[in-house]
Amino acid sequence: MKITCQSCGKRYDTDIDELCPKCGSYNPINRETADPNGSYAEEKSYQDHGKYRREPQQQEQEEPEDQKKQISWKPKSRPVQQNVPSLEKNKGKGGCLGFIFSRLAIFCVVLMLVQQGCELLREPIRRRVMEQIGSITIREYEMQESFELDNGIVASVEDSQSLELTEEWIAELSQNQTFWDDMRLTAVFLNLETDGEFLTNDSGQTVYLKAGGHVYRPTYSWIVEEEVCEQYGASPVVGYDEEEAGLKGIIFLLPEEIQKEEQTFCIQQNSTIPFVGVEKADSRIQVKLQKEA
Amino acid sequence: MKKVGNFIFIFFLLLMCVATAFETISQLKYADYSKICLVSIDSVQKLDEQNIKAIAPPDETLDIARYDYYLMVCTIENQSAIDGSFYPGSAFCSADGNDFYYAMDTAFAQWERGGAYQWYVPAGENIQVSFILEADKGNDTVMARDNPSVTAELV
Repeated sequence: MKITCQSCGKRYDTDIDELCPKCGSYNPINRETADPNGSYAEEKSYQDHGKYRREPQQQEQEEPEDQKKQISWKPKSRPVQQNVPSLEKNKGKGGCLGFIFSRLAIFCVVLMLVQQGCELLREPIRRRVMEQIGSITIREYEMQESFELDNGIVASVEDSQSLELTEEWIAELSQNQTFWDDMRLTAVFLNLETDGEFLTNDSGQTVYLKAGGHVYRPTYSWIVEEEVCEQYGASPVVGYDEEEAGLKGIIFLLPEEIQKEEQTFCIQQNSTIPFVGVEKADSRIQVKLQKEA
Repeated sequence: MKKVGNFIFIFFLLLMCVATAFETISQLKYADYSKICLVSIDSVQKLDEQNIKAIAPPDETLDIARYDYYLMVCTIENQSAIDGSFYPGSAFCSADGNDFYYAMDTAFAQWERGGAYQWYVPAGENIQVSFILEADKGNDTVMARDNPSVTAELV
């Protein structure tokens, strides 16, 4: 006879097993049939206390033969009392292992989903980054013309000077790099009209000089910068702190033969793309330096 | 016991999820987005022994008996708004693509580019770079490995 387990809802055949194969609970087949013999009370007692209290030998003696057949849920080959503790024991062992395996399975599945999700997100994010880095705004200015940087600093390129390198400067500059003989020094002087961060790591600004198609980065030597700036009443760019308004000098080393060519001083303004942290150039200010006489 | 197990499980699960997400972000951050391409190459002159010694960096090993040296100028374009670098190490080869030519910085290029073996190309710029090309004797053409349409006669 097929019944539905009251505990877990599993449908099973009582002719095969009296107890639910899934949860091990006992379920009455027919209360009216079972109850008159007192079996329902026993079964109820089992459900209430978790134990099947019964005295098999005594009961079997009292029960008539026809009733034995009628009440099919009664144990035939194995007593329920012996089965219940063994099931509980197994449940304890399997429970611990089951817990570990189930968590491990969930762990793997969730991690796999997260990885797949990340893989799926990677390409759209990459495409978005590529869209953002597609172009750069170029603004061109003349010398002595004021321009505003993204961080609010107002500045203008006041002057540029080409200088012969002295023996001391060559000695100073040769300390860190191989020095080429036919080089000259070009100093660009900027007038910062307002205080603020200029050429610091946080300002997102970089400068370079374009001459004859080549790009030259600034030369950093505090001693040379200070001496050059002193000659023109300027001060070197500190580069790590807020700059005070005033005339600031930046020096470049250029090969002698390209001195007469047109030079362009560039300030590139960078920003960081949120989330991915890629630094991109937003705009570039270009100032054409006048040719020296 | 189960509560502790659950706590450890959730902790490690979250840790792994965060690590996976951070790994993805870091891969995106350090991916190469710059679009730098070689536009043209020109041979300026063939360098004789005196010339090559004058302009080559002093630490470079020269084998004049085996190679010819040329002063070259190439134009490189950065089509993205991200500063990038061009790596000349394996950028030049013979016309048949079998021999790679070594591109050597000129001494002054160290000032120009701020470092050997990678040429700084600012965002959106089109720049020229001069360098010394070391080619096998007898080869008369140089080709950009990534762009076979960019070639130059070695003169």
